Amino acid sequence: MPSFRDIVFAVSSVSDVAEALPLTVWLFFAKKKQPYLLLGIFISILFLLKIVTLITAVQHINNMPLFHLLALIEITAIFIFYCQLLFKRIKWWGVFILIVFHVLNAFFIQNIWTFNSLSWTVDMIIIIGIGLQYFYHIYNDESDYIPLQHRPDFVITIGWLIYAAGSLFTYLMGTTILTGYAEGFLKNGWVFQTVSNISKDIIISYGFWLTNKR
Amino acid sequence: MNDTIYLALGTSAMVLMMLVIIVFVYLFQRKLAVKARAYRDIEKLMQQQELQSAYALIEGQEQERTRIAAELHDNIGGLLATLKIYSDLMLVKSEIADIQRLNNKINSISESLSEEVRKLSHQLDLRTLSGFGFRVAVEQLCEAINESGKVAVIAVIDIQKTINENIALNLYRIIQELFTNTLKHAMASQTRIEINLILNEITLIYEDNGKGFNTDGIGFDGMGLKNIGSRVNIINGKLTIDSSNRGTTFIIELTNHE
Repeated sequence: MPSFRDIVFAVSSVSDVAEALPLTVWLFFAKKKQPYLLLGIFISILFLLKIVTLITAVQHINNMPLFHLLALIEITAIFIFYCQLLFKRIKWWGVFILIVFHVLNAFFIQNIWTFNSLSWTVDMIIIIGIGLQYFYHIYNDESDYIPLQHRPDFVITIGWLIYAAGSLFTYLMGTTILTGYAEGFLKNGWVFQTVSNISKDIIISYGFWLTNKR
Repeated sequence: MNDTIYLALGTSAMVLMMLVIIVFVYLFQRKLAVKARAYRDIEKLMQQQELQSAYALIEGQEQERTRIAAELHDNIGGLLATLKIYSDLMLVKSEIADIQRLNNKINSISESLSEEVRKLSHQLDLRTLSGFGFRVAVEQLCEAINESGKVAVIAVIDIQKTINENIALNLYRIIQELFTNTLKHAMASQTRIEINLILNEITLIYEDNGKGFNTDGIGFDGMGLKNIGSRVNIINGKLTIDSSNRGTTFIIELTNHE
C-alpha cells in the first residue's frame, strides 16, 4: 500500500504538469482576446517553466531562481488580468511595485538560491485581495447582470481564489516545511498547494472553455 | 507542528474560501432575482400600457366613425335629399323659367355639396389614425409610467398634423425602448419627453437624470440602443446621444416626414 508520502509525491507530480490542461483548452477552445489572451500566454509560460523545474529537479540542480521568476510572472500576469477586468487599463505603477518587491526579496531578503516563501505568501494574499475585490465589483455593478454560470471571469476568479487559499497556508508554513531539505516538499502541508493548484487548473480550463460560449 | 495541525489549518483555509464563494454566489443570484422581478414588472407595465393604448385607439376610432356618420347623415345627406327634391321637381316642370330656377338651385346645392365633401375629406385627413393615435398612445404611455411611480415623466407633445403610419409606429417603439432603458438601467428619478412637429420636421427629445452610460462601452449594444439606432435608420432620421453620469439625452430629428 502506498504511503502518504507516495501519495503526496504523486499528486505533486500531477500538479507540476497540470498546467497542460488549461493550456490545451486555451490553445484549441478559447477565444484569444484580452484579457484571456494574456492569461493564456501566462499559462503557456508557466507550463514551460514548470517543465524546466521538473527537469532540473531530476538532475539535482538547484532551481530556486526559477521559482523566484515564476512568482514574479504569476503575480504580474494576474495583476494585469484583473486590471483589465476592473479598470479596463493596466496600472503600471502596480506592476513596478511587484517587480521591485520580488527583486528585493530575491537579492536582499531571502536568498535567490532558497525557496521564496515570502514572495509567494505576499502573492497569495494579493490574489485573494484582488479576487475578492473583483467579486465586490461585479456584485455592485448595476449594469452587469450576466449570470455567473456564463461568466468565464467569475469561474477563473474562483480558480485563483481556491489556489490562493490552499497555497497561502503552505507558503506561510514555508519556513517550517521547506527548510532546505528535499523532503520538506513532500511533507503534509505541501499537499494543499498541489491539490489547490490542480483544482485551479481544472477550473481555469472550464473558464477558458466558457470564453467561447459567450 | 504535527500533521493534524497542518491538515486542520490547510483544510480550514480552503473550506473558508469555499464558504466565501458560496455566500457570494447566493448574494449575486439574489441580486439577479430581484432585478429579474423588476424587469418583469416593467414588461408587464409596458404590455398593459400597450393594451390600454390600443383600447384608446379603438375608442378614438369609434368616436371618429360616429362623427363621420353624423356629418354624412346630417349635412351631406340633407343636401343630397334637397338635391333629389329639386331634381324630381324639374322633371315635372314644363316652364322654361321654372326649369331655369330649379337648375340654378341644383347648381348651387351641388356646389355646397362639393364644398362639404371637400371639408369632410380634409378633416378626415387631419384626423388620420396615425396622427391621432400616436399622440394618444404616447400620452398614455407617459401616464402609465408616471402612475407606476418608478419614474416621473414630463411629456410635451405638440403634433397637429398627420404623421406617416410607419414613422408613427417606429417612433412609438423607440419611445417604449427609451423608457424601458431608463427604467431598467438608468436608475433615474425623472424623464422628460418632448415631441414637436413643425412644418415637415419632427423632433423628439428624450432626457433622463439617470447614471448614464458609456456610448463606446460594451453595454452600448446590449441596452436596446442598437434597436433604437436601426429604427431611426428605417425612418431616415438622425439620432444624437449625449450621456454622462448626470443623465442621458436622446435627440431624434426627422425632416420631410411625409
